[in-house]
Amino acid sequence: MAGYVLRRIGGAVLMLLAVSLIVFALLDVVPGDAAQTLAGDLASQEQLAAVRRELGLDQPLLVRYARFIEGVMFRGDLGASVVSGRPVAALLAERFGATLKLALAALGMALAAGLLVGTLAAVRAGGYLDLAVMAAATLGESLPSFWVALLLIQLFALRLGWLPVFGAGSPAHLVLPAVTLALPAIALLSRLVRSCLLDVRSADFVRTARAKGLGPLLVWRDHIFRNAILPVITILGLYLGHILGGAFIIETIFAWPGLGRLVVQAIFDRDVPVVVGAVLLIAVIYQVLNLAVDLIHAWLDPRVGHEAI
Amino acid sequence: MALNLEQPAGRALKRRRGEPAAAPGAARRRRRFSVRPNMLVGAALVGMLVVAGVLAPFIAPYPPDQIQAALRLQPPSFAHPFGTDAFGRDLYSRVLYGARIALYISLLSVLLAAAPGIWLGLLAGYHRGWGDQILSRTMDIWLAFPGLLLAIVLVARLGPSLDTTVIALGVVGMPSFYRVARSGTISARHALYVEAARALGIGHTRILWRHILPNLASPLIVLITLRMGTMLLAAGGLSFIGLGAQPPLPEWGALLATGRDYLDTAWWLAFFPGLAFTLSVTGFNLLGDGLRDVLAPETHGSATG
Repeated sequence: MAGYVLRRIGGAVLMLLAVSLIVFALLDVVPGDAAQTLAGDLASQEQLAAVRRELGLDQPLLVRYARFIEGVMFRGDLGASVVSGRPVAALLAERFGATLKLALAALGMALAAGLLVGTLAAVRAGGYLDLAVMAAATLGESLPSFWVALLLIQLFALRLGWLPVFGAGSPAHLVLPAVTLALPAIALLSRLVRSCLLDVRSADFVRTARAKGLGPLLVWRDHIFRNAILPVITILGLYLGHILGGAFIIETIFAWPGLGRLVVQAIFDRDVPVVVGAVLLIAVIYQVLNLAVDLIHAWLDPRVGHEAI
Repeated sequence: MALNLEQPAGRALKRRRGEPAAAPGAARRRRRFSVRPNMLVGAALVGMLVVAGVLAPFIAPYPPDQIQAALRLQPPSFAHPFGTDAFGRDLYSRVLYGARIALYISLLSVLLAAAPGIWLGLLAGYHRGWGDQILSRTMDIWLAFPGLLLAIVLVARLGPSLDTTVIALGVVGMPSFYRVARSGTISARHALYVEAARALGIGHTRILWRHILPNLASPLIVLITLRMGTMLLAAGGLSFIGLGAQPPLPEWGALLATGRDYLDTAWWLAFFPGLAFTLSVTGFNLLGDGLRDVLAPETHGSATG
């Protein structure tokens, strides 16, 4: 187990190094680089060259990359925003807080609703409730979240005036973006919970448990639920990674000051240090969550760690 | 196999599903003829998208970019079933032409993802060795970027437009095809029919393309169908935030972005493009799920990875 954990952590670190190099190289020559942004569009060639030298942009890519990594590793320094001049690390910390709040709210909603609906559907499998839930879930997975966001805004913010259209600051601001993010997860989770429960319900060990005289409640709690929960944990981990690092569109629509909106805005502002820093942070979050999911798996299912990878 | 009483779910269950059925022939033939209504609905929706896209110039009542200042922001009526936008352009015609763009996006980006992904996956799975190691680790790095992030970075690098979106989505979508092709090839390369072909002296290339690839067709077709919906949504999301197809192109995401500015005055501008999205993506999802049930029931549940 310890070997497995170490191997996985080592793999994740190598992966992040590779990701950082790719991002660094990809964004290296974005049209109108950082120097252009800083010096302004009217700067002369000489002024541009001077700014480039000052920023170290005249050095070869690998030298700059090495310097960047050195700064990140030893000083926690990700550079400064070209637009606002603020340190990227501080910006990221601030934005990450907002994204985390949004993600946890959405996750809580998705988990509660998904488990409840999925279990109800599984208990009454084949009935009308089950059919309705599955139809709604199929549709829910296909709904474009940005359209759902607009419909929710139209109804709850504009028509009814119950909730603010966009922005952040009060708990009311959190409701619409969190619901928008939670809806597809509720659909996915209730389908998953249902099918896992149904699969496990007909497994041999459940038959054994019934045969030895356990009551239905105990069978469900100790045998069916416990075994059906593994895939749910996997999906939840992936989903959390998705929101923490991928709510670009929803955060942009609701002007939620999180990481996703930061990336989009920085791209429009050609603020390369911010984009690089944010992408790296998102990749780190994603890796950590994936790792956590795998480790939970290994912990719950002792066979996992011994498989050849 | 010893009776395993406390068998945890998850991987173990998946593996059990992965085993071929005892008598695959008969069971599968019977399955093939019991097409569920879901799949028919899916096929109908996708068919609608194809017809709308291909025939847009013939069925659209107006040219999609015809500006009529006198008719700006008209609500839906008989003359303009989906209403008109701020320039007096007919939204119904624009959504129809948008179906063309939707087809273009889903077909081309999936092709860009599937062709190299399947090719590399076949080679890696068949020959294994260090080439497989390098390719698989590279694909893992790809997948270390969550969701749209890599696409957004690529689009930022290439400059936002319809074509760069398609390219970015193609690049981002490649690893899933690679993985399916590779794992399929690995399990097929010691199958009896491959050994037989090899014993007959047939070359590696021919074995790969003529013997192994056709046997992977089912999971690949399912993946292609499901991915077409995913790509369409992703492209719409990108252009919605301004990092994809740019107006005045009647791409649905771009139409939605415009509609967003008129939410309280002209609801139809955001409603109909969103509806078109939903119907098309639902179509691809239902069709893909249905195809999976019919063609490759054993791959159920592995699409989450």
